[in-house]
Amino acid sequence: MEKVTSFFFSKILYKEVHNISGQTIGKLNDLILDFNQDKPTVIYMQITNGRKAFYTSAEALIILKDKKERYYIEINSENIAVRQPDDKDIYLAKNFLDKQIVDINGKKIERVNDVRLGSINYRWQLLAVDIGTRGLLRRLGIEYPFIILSGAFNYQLRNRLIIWDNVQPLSNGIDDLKLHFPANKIETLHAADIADIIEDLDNKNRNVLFNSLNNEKAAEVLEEIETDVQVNLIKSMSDKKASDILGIMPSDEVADIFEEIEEGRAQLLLSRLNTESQGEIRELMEYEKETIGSIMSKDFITLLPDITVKDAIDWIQMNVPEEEESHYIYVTNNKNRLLGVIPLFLLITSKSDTKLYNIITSQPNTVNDNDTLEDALKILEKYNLVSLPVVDENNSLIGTVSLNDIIQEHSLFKKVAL
Amino acid sequence: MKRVLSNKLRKIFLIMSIIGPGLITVNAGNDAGGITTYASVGASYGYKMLWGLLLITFSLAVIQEMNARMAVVTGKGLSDLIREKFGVKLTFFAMTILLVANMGVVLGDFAGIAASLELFNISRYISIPVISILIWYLVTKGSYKKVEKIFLAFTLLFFSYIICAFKINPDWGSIFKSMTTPAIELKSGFLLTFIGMIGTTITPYMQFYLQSSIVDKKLSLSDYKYEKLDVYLGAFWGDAVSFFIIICTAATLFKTGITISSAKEAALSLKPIAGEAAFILFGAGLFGASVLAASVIPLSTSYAICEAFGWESGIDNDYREAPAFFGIYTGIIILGAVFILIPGISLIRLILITQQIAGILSPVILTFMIILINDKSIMGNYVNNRIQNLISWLTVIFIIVLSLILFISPMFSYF
Repeated sequence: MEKVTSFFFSKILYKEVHNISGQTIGKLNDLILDFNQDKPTVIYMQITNGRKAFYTSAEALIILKDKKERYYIEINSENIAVRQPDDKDIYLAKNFLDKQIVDINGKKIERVNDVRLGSINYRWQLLAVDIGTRGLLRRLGIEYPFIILSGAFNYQLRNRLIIWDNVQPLSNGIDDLKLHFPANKIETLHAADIADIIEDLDNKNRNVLFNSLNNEKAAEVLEEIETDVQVNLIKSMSDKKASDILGIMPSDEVADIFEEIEEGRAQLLLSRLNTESQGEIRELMEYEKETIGSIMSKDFITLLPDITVKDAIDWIQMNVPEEEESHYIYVTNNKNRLLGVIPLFLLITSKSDTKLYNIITSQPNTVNDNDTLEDALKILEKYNLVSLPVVDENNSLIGTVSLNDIIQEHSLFKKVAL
Repeated sequence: MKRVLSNKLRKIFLIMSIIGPGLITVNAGNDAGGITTYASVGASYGYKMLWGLLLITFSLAVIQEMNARMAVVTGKGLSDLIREKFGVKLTFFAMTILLVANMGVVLGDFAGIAASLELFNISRYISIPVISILIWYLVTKGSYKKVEKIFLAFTLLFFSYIICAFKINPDWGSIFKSMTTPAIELKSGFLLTFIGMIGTTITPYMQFYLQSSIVDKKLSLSDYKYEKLDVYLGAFWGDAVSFFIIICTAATLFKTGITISSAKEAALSLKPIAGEAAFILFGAGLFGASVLAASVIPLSTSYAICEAFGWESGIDNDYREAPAFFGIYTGIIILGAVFILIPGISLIRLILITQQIAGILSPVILTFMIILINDKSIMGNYVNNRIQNLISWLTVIFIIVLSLILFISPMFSYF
């Protein structure tokens, strides 16, 4: 028999554990891991003897195997230290095996079939998670017959391992992910990918994962999530958390969410936002569905006509507005009447001492807030634009509507119609 | 004012969209297996088993409510929950049972397709290949949802049993008496029919199907009260149809001593209201119900198994992305179709036997369910109460005892 330096967890789970003199002291029932390390480290083992269970340090744990791949578990220490269980412990079999995780690389939810552990600096650490069919067969104890069988068909049965750096654990009975798994790997993904993953999860995992995001990321993600799930997430959030996140989101998205949730809660959350957004959101909620007003954005850049190009560029560099709202600069008089539009490209290619009124496209294409999405789409398509200014009956600039917003709304309608 | 109204409308719309899975599941449960089994219950034993139907209606309601509760509380499908709680080995066992039971039910439904079209003189050697390829194509190409309603409409024809039951004016007094006085014969024919009746009412596949379709609705706990209404309504409405089928066949076939050996005899029970058109009525209804179930069950089986083992699933994927999913789905349909084409097989007998197998296997899945729903770490405060546990465990024990008597009784008859 030889010592192994790495092995699959299923090979030792529920196997007999021996002490230094070779006596059986019980069966290995589970391992307790410390997830605060760079790689999760095995700290204790749960051993059962009949109906009794006890916990002992994993430092002296030695795994051996013979030529026939039979594993032998030994605690290589004279005295076996025993400790009491703690309800904050995370168990490998109970909380991790057979549960779902997110594969950060593949941006998908997978199920843990097995776990690969390895000895690094004399400590057992979690190296990788096995999500493949071979892991399933190993758990069933029929891995080798299948390797021979598939070999006969010239097919190699491979392990599908995800290294720990690419694994984001999910709730699985744990309420606060950040507390137990400090490295939040999911935040490295694009908001739209996180939204897809959250939509695929069950309620509990969904809430726990969403709550582990910082508010900025949470706002971006919430914007991308489908309506049903958005509503459920808001429902289960505290008023403080919900208003913090909604406060970061654009008013038009917030208005959409408020239309879907229960009215009392919507009023309460609305009252917690700042007065400016409150006004904007109320205004947006007044509009009928399928009108421009219901989806228009209240975030856009307006400048006065008599400032110079340099002033304008300085202002943009100072304030760094969102990319989405910066495709066009809107020029208004001091009564908020729309005088004209300057595409960002034109602005940066003009001489710096030019006054804005010299380069504006006067009488730009506009839509009215009560026009339909169809109307806006026609103009956008005809003139190859990415967004349009929205004006009221007095020609005051009240919002903008982008091609992207219309496409999103449009695909939503199609879904409902099916 | 306008807003208030639209909020109210939205609420009504919400409730209507929640009510649905339970009703559809039970309706789909009245498939070829269901219709034939209930018809043979009535034809062979008259009103004698009505008490059993009444009792299993309560069991069905309790069990389906458990599925609905698990779906809403956990947001997970039944096979997900089984895998997470019981690990790979027991999941493998549960999925094998599910596969065998569902394979049987699918066989029954293919037999239903063949039997119904034989009423219109279409040979099974033509109908089965054509229909099975059609089903496979419709479902995998994603156009199934559009035609589903057509088949569902066919099954409405079975409501003619209700009209029929009132038209023949049976002895309601003795019906009521049989419903309330349990009677059992310790003969294997009676026991098998009884188990078949349970098996077709509480089919293992229904638990998986119902739970997933409620999960898909993404309901929150506050909508649960409507969902509960839906499953209770579904259970009682579904079994009401079964009740009238038994009454009709008891009053027409049992009285004249005709037992059901083919779809022709089963159709006779609709003669009092349809005359010679009874064959058309029964045939069309049986056809719709069979096609509906033969489309849904292979798909739901494939979803359940892939979910449990973490394999890619869903008809949005193509064959290379989800080989296991399409493999299982296609395999069930091919196996079902080919089996029916074995020369000399009695279709009605096949349908009845497959329901009996489902009945004998049903306690396995139910036991997994009862353990899951009583786990506080999964269900929190929504674990079963005492009455729910009592009814569900009694159901399990009752089926096991019946099956045991069934296997033991032939041994005694030799002495």
